[in-house]
Amino acid sequence: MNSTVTPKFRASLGFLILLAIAVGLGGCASGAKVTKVFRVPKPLIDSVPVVMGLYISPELRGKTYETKIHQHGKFTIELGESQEHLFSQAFSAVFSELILVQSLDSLPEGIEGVIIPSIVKTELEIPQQTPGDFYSVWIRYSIRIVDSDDEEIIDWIVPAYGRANRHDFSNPLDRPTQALTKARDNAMRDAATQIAFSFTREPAVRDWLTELTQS
Amino acid sequence: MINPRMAMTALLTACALAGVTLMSGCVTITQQQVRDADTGIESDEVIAVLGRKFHSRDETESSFLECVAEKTSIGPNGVQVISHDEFVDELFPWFEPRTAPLDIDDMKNLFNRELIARKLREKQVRYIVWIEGTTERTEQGGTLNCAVATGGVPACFGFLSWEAGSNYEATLWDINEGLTAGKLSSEAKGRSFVPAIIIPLPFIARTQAHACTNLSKQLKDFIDPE
Repeated sequence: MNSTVTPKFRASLGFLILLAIAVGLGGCASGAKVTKVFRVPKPLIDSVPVVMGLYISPELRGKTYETKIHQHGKFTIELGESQEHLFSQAFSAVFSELILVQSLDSLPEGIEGVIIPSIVKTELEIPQQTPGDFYSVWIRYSIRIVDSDDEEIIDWIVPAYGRANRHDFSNPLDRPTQALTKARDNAMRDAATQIAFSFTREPAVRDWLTELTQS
Repeated sequence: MINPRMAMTALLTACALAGVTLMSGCVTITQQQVRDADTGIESDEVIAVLGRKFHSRDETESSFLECVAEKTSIGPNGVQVISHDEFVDELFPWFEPRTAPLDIDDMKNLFNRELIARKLREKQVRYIVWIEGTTERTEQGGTLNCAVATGGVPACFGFLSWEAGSNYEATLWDINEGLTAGKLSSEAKGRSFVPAIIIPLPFIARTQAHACTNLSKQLKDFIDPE
């Protein structure tokens, strides 16, 4: 059978092959969108015998970070959907009981205080902006604790950081999204680590908890 | 009848694909071992292969950790391995970049916490193997240009070459004895090159794969010398 290949077809095929080579060499990077929901294990720590409430505001639930990087496109990180999971996991290990509260106006009976987290600032960095190979994400949290009389115990600032090595992701087309997802997950994991590790060591929190558990 | 041009294109493509899979540059390996204590492992005990993660330094590639975990668990003297991700999740948050023990004394302090000791016993972790190191390219040179020639045929011309070095070190902590059992290292170096006359023919020195195979074999022999 005699096959015919038109010059137009050959030119298109040639262009596609060259495009594949260019992408294969890792040149294409045009933004990323992180939407995957984050999961973190429950910390392996001893809990304090106190019942606390957790309030996730509508603003935090809907939080999305967007930025444009010159010549590299638009980067979007969805943060809100994962916040309830993050703070539930972390604080349910810190305290013996954690109750999700829907409104600050009507708190359930029996809770000693309410945890009110928010995101103060988010930043990201891509490898093209640095000498290294890492996608980095910074999330600055504010974690307010108020007691059952609405008195503020602490406004604790948690600077969380996560990064991911671009060489850990082999598909060049999907690499920015995958690496940025990992960097965001590592940042939120870092926040959970700091909550589990340092929250009860904060002097204001320690004194308040000592008062509660001894009364 | 087969079109001669298409047959030639198919042949060249096949050659290029074969080149990618079969041809490799030369790799030289240097290994070192320091033994601080006797070792051994029961059939129901496992080792955890962990990568040192830092917030401010280069860290070992996940693919290398996965490779060592896989290759250490197979073969005649293979041992059961718990992967980095599974281990750090099970012991969260004690092996995170900002909390992981830096030496065996730190580890002993962790072991004094009942929750952690119980988890390690439950998982039957006998050794923790900390892997540090990276693969880096140096002395990169040459150029390679590709274009669509007359008639729509893509063609590349030029020559690329680079030197790659994969340097990895493994430190073994014996959890039962509370001591550092030893250190192993594997260093693989090799030069890769890609000559191109119409079709690029890559000769890749797979230094990381060689370092992984070598370090995994050393680990198995070190843990269970018999």
